[in-house]
Amino acid sequence: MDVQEATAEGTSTAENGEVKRDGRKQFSMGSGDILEGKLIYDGSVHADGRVEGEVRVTGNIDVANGATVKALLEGGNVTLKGQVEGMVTARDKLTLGKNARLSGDIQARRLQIDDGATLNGHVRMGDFEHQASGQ
Amino acid sequence: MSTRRPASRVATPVPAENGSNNGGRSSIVLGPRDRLVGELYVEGDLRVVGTVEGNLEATGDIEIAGSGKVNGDVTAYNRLTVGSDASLIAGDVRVARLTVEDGATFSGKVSMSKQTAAKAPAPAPAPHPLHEAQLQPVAEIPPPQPVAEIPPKQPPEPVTVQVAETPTPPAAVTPMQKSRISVSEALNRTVAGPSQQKSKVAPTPPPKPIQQKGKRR
Repeated sequence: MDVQEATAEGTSTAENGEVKRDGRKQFSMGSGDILEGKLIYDGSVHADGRVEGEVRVTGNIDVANGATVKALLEGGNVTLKGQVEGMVTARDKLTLGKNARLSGDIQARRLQIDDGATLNGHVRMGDFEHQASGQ
Repeated sequence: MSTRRPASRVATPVPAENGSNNGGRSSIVLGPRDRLVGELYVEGDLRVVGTVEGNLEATGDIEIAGSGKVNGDVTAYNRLTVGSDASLIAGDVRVARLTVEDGATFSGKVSMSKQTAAKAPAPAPAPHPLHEAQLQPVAEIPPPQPVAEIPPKQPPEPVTVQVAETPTPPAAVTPMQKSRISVSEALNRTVAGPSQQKSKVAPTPPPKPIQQKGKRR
């Protein structure tokens, strides 16, 4: 436990917003945070505030309600509750929450769209050209 | 067996609930054994449990439930629901509200902004004869004819207004002038006429007899 905490602290100092959760890293943003650029991350991302660019993770992507994302998103399970503009790829499951507003193409193995969500884009389900990546 | 068959027939179509009118809106159900190849336009709701190969359009809700499979464009003015075991493989999906349950197969181009949902159906129904019949009279009656008729009316209107204004003075003037002219002419004519006649007639006869009478007496 001590060793794990130490490694967690060491990585957290190296990378902003990292939190240890069940042996997985998470990049967590606040509602006032801004991320611009390309993020390739071995873990999960909780996106909030404003994100512009490209986010590719090996874990899951969670876009919070109220967040504004203009980016290419790629993750295992992708859950959208905020406003997203850009292509979204979910290697496993993509979920659009009731407040989600997505303008962009979708590629997902499984898809769930809750009543109230807004979607404008092309939807593809099945195998993927892009593999999980970052590497 | 005889008891099962009518029971199953009643269960799949459910004519009493679905085939009848629901407040003037029709509701169509394609059961699990039903199959549609072609286009379907429904003023009301549509529930697909069977197989559809073609385009669907409904003014109400469209629900693809059970093991329903739809291969074609789908336009729902209100709501589209794709069940967990259902499949929708479409080119275009135009809906106002969309629900896709986990496990469903769904692909296509989705347009569901409020503007597209409200406006897209308007151009979309153009191919349907029903909509053409509904749209054409509405479009023909109000805009062009009154607009086209009004401007031509306006130019004549001022003319009529001028006529309406002018007639009183000129109408009053012309009769006066005519009457004056006619009276003066008539007077001149009458004066000249009778005076000459009187002068010719009056002097000539009386003096003759007077002179004759006086001379005779």
